[in-house]
Amino acid sequence: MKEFYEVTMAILMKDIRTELRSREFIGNTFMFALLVIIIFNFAFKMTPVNTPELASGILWIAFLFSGTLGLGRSFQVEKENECIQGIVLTPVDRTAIYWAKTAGNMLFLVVIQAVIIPVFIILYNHNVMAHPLEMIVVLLLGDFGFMALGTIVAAMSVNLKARELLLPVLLLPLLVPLIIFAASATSALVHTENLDLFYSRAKLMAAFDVLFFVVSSLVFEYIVDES
Amino acid sequence: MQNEAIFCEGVSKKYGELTALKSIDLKIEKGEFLVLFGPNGAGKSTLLKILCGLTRPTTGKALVAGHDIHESDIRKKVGVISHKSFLYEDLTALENLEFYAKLYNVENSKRRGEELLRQVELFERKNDLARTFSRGMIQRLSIARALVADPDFIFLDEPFTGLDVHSATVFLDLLQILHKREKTVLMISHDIGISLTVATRIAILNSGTIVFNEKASGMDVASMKKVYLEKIGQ
Repeated sequence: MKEFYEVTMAILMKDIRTELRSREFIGNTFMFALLVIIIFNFAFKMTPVNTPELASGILWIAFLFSGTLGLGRSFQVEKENECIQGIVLTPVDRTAIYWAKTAGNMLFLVVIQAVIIPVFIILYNHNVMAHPLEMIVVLLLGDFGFMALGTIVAAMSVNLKARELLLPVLLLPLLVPLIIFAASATSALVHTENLDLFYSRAKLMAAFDVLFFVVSSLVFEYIVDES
Repeated sequence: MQNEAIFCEGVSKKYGELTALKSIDLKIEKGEFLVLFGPNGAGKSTLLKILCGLTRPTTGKALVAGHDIHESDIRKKVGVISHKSFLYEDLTALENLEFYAKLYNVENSKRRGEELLRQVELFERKNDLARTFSRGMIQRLSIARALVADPDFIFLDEPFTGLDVHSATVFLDLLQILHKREKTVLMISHDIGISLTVATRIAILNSGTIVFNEKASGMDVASMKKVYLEKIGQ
């Protein structure tokens, strides 16, 4: 168990270190998310009445599309110089690789959200963090499920020729239920202030998170071993 | 259980309709240095990939020290140098080695990394990013990476490709040291001259079949070239 933890941390710290130097995940993802919320701000005629209604959808579209862009990059780094083969040659538990990559991808998305949400609040003049604790729970549940599934799909698509196209085509349909519940839970907090709905949606999101994470942990070995 | 360090029996590999390897039987004794020659597309890299666990044979079995390479414990005893470096360009030379040392659960990964960087004459560049290195330096760093867990079995796929004279000399010296330390080595090469200075056994693979497998003693470059051309049908 100690060895599993150390390997997971070694891969995670490697990902953080390379990202701090290249800023390819965070830099590109941030710019994309920023553009999405700016474009929506101009595309819709935002008023104090419709902003709370639209906020959750705009936020999750921004996180979903920008996060998918970042996911593609996360395994591309491993593909350069076939580093993923270098890792697979070592005696590490393949699940540790998956856990580390998922944790890294989620961490980078959380960093993006920590910047994008204040920008959103300023730009749309609407406080989406009126229930901060509940909002953090929704974001973390949404991020975890997104990255748990996204990491495995990114690993599967990294060897494909049209991977930039195939990653969203494969990933987004699978994420639809989770994102619907995430947007619904967010809307329950920033629009209707219906906390009962929030709790029911949060539970469903947690169930999807567990499902995505457990299944992906079990199948990751078979995906990387022939990568 | 087989006593050979490396043992292949009836190993075949198909990629769809293409047969890359046809029922390969190969035995390498402990401490042997086998150099595998063959034309492009003969199946050399596929055989090496099977032996180091990067792909599975379609039929047959390949064992390293009597174990299936897919058992995680045996992987610690295998070092691989491939066409690709397996190095992260945004990590420094030392960080790359420390990272792999941690994956192999090597104690004191930093000290081990520094020790290897001295051996491959890159210690002065230990804090430079791998992306700033030349092809020869990357190859030397790749060698250090492969040796990070002090493996008993070393698999090399055309390691001299693109090396300058200095890098090739450093590498050759290192190979000779490793051979003296009873490491079992399988090297794929196209360079008959260099290979004969280190090989104890020579094999030739052609169209997925081993067509020659003899001890290297007594062979010179001219006779080896003649045998090679004869065996590949040129």
